Amino acid sequence: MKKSLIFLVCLFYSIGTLFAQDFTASGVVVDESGEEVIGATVVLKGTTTGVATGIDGDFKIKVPHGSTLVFSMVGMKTVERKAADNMRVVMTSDVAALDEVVVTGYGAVKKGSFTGSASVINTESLQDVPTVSLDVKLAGASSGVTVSNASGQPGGVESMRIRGAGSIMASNEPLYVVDGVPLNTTNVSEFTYSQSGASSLSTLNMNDVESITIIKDAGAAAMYGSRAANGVVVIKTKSGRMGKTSVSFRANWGFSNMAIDYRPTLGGDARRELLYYGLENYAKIRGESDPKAFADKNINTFAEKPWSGWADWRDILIKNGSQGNYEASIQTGSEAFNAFSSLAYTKLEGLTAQSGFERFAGRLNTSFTGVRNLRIDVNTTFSRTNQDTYSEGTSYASPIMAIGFTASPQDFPYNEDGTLNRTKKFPLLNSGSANPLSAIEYTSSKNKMTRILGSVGAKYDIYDGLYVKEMLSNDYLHSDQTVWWGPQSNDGRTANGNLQVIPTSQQTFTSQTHLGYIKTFNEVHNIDGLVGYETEKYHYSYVYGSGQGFPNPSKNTLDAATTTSSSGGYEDRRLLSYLAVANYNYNETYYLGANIRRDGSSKFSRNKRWGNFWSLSGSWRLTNENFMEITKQYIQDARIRASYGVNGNLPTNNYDFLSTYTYGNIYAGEQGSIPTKFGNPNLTWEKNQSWNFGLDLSFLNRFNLTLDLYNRKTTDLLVPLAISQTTGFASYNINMGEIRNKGVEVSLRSNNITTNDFTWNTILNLSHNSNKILKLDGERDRMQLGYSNRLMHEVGQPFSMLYALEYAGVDPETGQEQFFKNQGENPRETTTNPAEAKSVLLKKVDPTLSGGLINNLSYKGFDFGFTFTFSLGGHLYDNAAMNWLNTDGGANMFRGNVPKSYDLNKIWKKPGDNAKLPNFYYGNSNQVSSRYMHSTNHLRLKNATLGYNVPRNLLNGSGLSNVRFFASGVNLLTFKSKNLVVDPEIPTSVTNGIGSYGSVMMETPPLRTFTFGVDISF
Amino acid sequence: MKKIKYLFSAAFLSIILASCSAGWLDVTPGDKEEEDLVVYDLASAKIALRGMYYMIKGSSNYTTYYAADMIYYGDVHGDQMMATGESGRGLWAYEMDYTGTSGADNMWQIPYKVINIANKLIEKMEAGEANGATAEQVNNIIAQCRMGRALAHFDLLRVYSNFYDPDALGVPIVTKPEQWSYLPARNTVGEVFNKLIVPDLEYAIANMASSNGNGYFSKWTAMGLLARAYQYQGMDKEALATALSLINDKANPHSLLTNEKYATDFNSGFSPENLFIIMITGTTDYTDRPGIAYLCNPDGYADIAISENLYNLFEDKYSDDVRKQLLIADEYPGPEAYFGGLKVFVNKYKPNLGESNIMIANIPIMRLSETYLIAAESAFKTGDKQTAADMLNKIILRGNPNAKTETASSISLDRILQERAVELFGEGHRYFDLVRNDMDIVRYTSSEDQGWNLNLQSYATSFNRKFYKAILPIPISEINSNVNIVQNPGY
Repeated sequence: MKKSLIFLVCLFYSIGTLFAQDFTASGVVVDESGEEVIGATVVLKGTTTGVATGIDGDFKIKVPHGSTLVFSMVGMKTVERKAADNMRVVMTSDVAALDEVVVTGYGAVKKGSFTGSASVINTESLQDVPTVSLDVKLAGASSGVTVSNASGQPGGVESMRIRGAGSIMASNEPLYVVDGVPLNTTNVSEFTYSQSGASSLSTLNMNDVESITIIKDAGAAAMYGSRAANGVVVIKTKSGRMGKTSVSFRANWGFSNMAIDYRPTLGGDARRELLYYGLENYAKIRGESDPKAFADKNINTFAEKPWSGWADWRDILIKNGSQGNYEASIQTGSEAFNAFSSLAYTKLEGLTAQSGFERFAGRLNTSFTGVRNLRIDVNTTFSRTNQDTYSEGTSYASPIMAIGFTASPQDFPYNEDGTLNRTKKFPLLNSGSANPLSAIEYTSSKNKMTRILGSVGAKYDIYDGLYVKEMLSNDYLHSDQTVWWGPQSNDGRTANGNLQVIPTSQQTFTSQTHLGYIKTFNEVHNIDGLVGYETEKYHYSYVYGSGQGFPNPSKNTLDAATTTSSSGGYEDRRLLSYLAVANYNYNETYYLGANIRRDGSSKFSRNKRWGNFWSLSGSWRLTNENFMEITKQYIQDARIRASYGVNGNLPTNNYDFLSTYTYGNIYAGEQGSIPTKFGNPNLTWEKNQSWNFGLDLSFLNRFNLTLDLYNRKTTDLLVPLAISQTTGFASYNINMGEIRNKGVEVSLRSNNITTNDFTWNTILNLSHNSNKILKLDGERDRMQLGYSNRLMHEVGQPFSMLYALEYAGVDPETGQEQFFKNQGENPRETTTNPAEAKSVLLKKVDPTLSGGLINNLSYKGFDFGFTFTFSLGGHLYDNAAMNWLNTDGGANMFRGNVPKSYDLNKIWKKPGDNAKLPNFYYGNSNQVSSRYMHSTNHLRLKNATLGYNVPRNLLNGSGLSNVRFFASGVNLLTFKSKNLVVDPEIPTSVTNGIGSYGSVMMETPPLRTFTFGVDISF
Repeated sequence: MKKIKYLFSAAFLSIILASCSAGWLDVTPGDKEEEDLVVYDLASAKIALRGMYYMIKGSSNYTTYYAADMIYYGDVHGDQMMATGESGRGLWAYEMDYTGTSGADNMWQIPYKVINIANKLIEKMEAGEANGATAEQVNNIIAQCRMGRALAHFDLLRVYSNFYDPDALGVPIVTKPEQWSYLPARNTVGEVFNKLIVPDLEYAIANMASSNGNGYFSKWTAMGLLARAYQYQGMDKEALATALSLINDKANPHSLLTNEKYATDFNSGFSPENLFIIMITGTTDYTDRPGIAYLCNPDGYADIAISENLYNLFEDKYSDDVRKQLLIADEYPGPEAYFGGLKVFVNKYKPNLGESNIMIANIPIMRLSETYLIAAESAFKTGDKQTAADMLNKIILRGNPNAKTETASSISLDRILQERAVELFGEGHRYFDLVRNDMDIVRYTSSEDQGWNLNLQSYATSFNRKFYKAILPIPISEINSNVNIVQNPGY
């Protein structure tokens, strides 16, 4: 009965071929790697009759004998084949195509049938970009995505924001899924001496990555439930391809320096002249009878030319970094088996002797397809990394702080006899032992990571589109961290050497069990869906050991210490999920998708543990409608999309719901326990409700436009509510408050020129996000989070607003700083008395508009690609300038470096002067004002690659299939405001997260790197 | 083929069922203990008790109580010591600049943490959670908690209120573990003294053991603090009586160090003079670099030093006094040494015997010599000048057996306070002594007498206890989170 019904409907739809003699053509469509192509369109040539391939790449279509089938898929070259039984059609990818495959982790679909909002990044063009960090590669490549680094030190933690930040206490980082497995991407570093942290993402060799899909809207992200609030980054690594075995080698070498002129300072003579003026001026103000004599007497305390001449600490401490990268990969494939394997070695040296990153990474991805109905995928990767970092922040040992602030031209590095200067110069470093060179020579901070990540997946086709899939994975991440302060260093001096070691291990075991169904009914009703069950089990453990007293400083292991102490512990967390996904489309014109997921997390108490997350989405392909036929020559493809979804975010800590005591609080040599957490048993998920409306347009055979509008509202925000400290605690974690992010994203791609010899295409990505606090704790309109006094969070305003007095320039009469009152009857009146002025919310940290402009050109064997990134409307606050550097003669200016912006000609000297800089004298003080707030507007040539492929005819007979030479660089050019002496890409603090966002101190700026390389395949 | 199919289905189901058991999502924190499970016997109660001492002692994370701030606040806020600015740590209290993220914020938080720890343990002890402990043992622990609670309330009053005025705004009294929504108002100074400090200390004196070991409170610590508390309230009769009963009690194992041993044994755990000493035994329990020992040491942060006026007092009148030995110089050779190599750094927190690490140093918090000085001052104020002279002479002669002593007719309040300054410098007393006695705090008046003082804002050069900055503002975090708290005037 059923069969006849289908037949009837078929008749109805294939009316044009009613009288031909039909048979059923069938087969499977695979790509070069032997992977099934899902959703490829199979059309009878000359008609619009067609079907889409199923989850196994399979298709069945009733066609007349002798007819031709056209196989097409966005992102792949169209293939024509004679219709037959049991066809095996291989489609190859079309690099130049304007559309691509969206990998959601719950299946790969072509973008045309994806109802959510996602960006697909082709990593091939980014392979040559010399960096180990993913964020540098991704900068500008996708709209709605901003990336940053905590520090320019290699191997440091990266940060990605998809459509703004919606969380205060929970993470704002997206979920990373690699080959279907959610990846642990925590900062591995236990120490905070360096601000860079240690990125666990840096263990991955990014050149193993085939594609990156960034899922931005809740419609698709809700599949990942409680972890998907900030979007999902789905990474697919390379796999073996059917056909000839190929081997390739690549190597590149290069060097690095700072991407910007970081906090330039005055040279010795100019500094001395300025400080002399400051002393003389001070003596005048103080009423000394002979100001010149006073200045003469005191100037050498601050600016005495040393025996060696003025010291240039930039030259002494900072060197050019270097980079080398060597890798080999092999890929092969047959009907029953395919494999991809790679081995890579990377070595980066940072800007000082104690900064570097080394990685040895291997991968083997295999799949077995020999047994009928069964497919087994085994992916394994291992890596060893070795990261060296120097101290940052306000540590005396920081070389970055030394060049910008603490080591002035009068502080000489070496004595005349060649020994290290350990006199009491270095007044800002507390003592001569703090000569920054002693930190570089006698201290180190190392982090060695080992990661073994493996997954085994099996998929079995049970019957007629019904399949079961099981995947198990284990991620083992071990880290050995060692901080050594030799007895000769300032940090290790008093303890006669200090060693700290922390071995940690993190293990994540996940299982995914899916029962799925995919089927096309009546050739036009395409359905697919799955129900599944997933678990995640995470275990973390650490041991901390420290030793003091090293009689032999060259032996720095714990057993060589005179006294040692240790501590340790572990944490667990678990996640249990049930999910169901269903998609339906009618004739590839109307799409509907729904998914629901139920997550249980060990991070909450028993009755708050379970949460439901869901989404609905749909899209309409207008160009499939008859009425669009007339516009076909202008508009090739048009689609509108909409989605709504609810997903969640978990707290960062594992046990916030429990009131707990910790041990290890030793008193008088004995164990003590103290309450450390005021647990909230009612704590639960942060929830995101997001709308997304999208439009995809391919027009004029050249342009491809994607436009998205979104509105993401985060409720039940996890907030560290400040409570009365009389309770013994400063904060209590609670769900309250709301933040909204809404915005527009535009991505326009254009094939400017396509000829046989020359191609040029351009991609422009633009994003605008506006962020607003809707509610804080319900009572207060404003609050600060305690990490930074420069940020004020106010209802109705963007989350990160800079807060200070509003600077109104130099008072021409007194030469003092003046401020707008911003209170009382005349708020725009100025005053030199800070008590009469009121601090106000000034500017937002986040940019109004940011984006990237990518161009790819190729001419014969040459190719040239470059990416510009830019940002408009954002601001930062220079805390270091306010506290120490730009204080118009404050004590720290005399004791350390003076910023280059100080120019005697610009300083106020007498009443009536309309000066740029206030009066300058010893002991002057300044105020927290907008004077130190700067725009982060900038344009940056983020990366550029020039390559040359040796023509094939020259390679004939050599056995080589491809030889390519290339030169590539990152952060090559930066255009920014002159007043901004730090990097415009605001670093995201590893320790304070969003709480101190927008304030800068002494962070290492990003590296500018150039490399040259060669890539050989045979 | 079918077999495989069933196998898969069976595996699918079994994995679901196996992991589905209700307890799978219950995890226990490996490096923490749930609050309800912390105390179950005497030993575990003692561990929790040590947590209170740990919080009083502080750590590199909790520096704002006796780890450093509470001690130097009483010194550099006064007229005889100063912050050098070398590491910038003591500057806020010296310059009286309480804005920003200085210690002014956290001197509020840590004492309340001590109070919270004490209250939680008192509740557990009263509920009989320490199975097997005798009533005496239970009371001894409760007594130590109440002593710690009294000390914390007392210190909060010293820092945040005009403690000499019973009607002035004090601090909230907290006597039990409170909920997160607790928003107390400030009690008056008198209420804090009469409802909390005095009863807690009286309970402690009645119930605490004569010794709980080095580094722990004893009955005698409670008596010493009670004498001090009365003195701060201006209740001289009670202060004198309490001080004398401590000094004269036959059972009291404490005595003044001899002149010979004073300098060497000053912060030794075996010194009989210490009524309470914070014991630091190694790197597991030290307070690291932010601790007072490293702050004071010229080889450490060199952040705190005595002012020229105190230096001159030692040079002029105490040149042969043993107490001068507790000042040291920066030993760096040549003119680069701090203060030209003069002995201006406090050496009361010198490394423990045989220890070379300058951060491993015991911190005396209450010494019997202070009790003598309390007795002397209170006796003087109540008119008993003979007792005042007797008590003071003990301290004078211990410092220098050949020094000129005082008699009932020669003794004066200034003389007593001078001796206090010499005996207790660097231990966090001087500022409060001046405030108690309503004396002006004069750092300098002109560049002639500026000495080694840094250039200060004019209000900080000379002020008295009525100046609003004489007490700290209630931290803005407390004001913001607690609508019932009233800010100190002027802020």
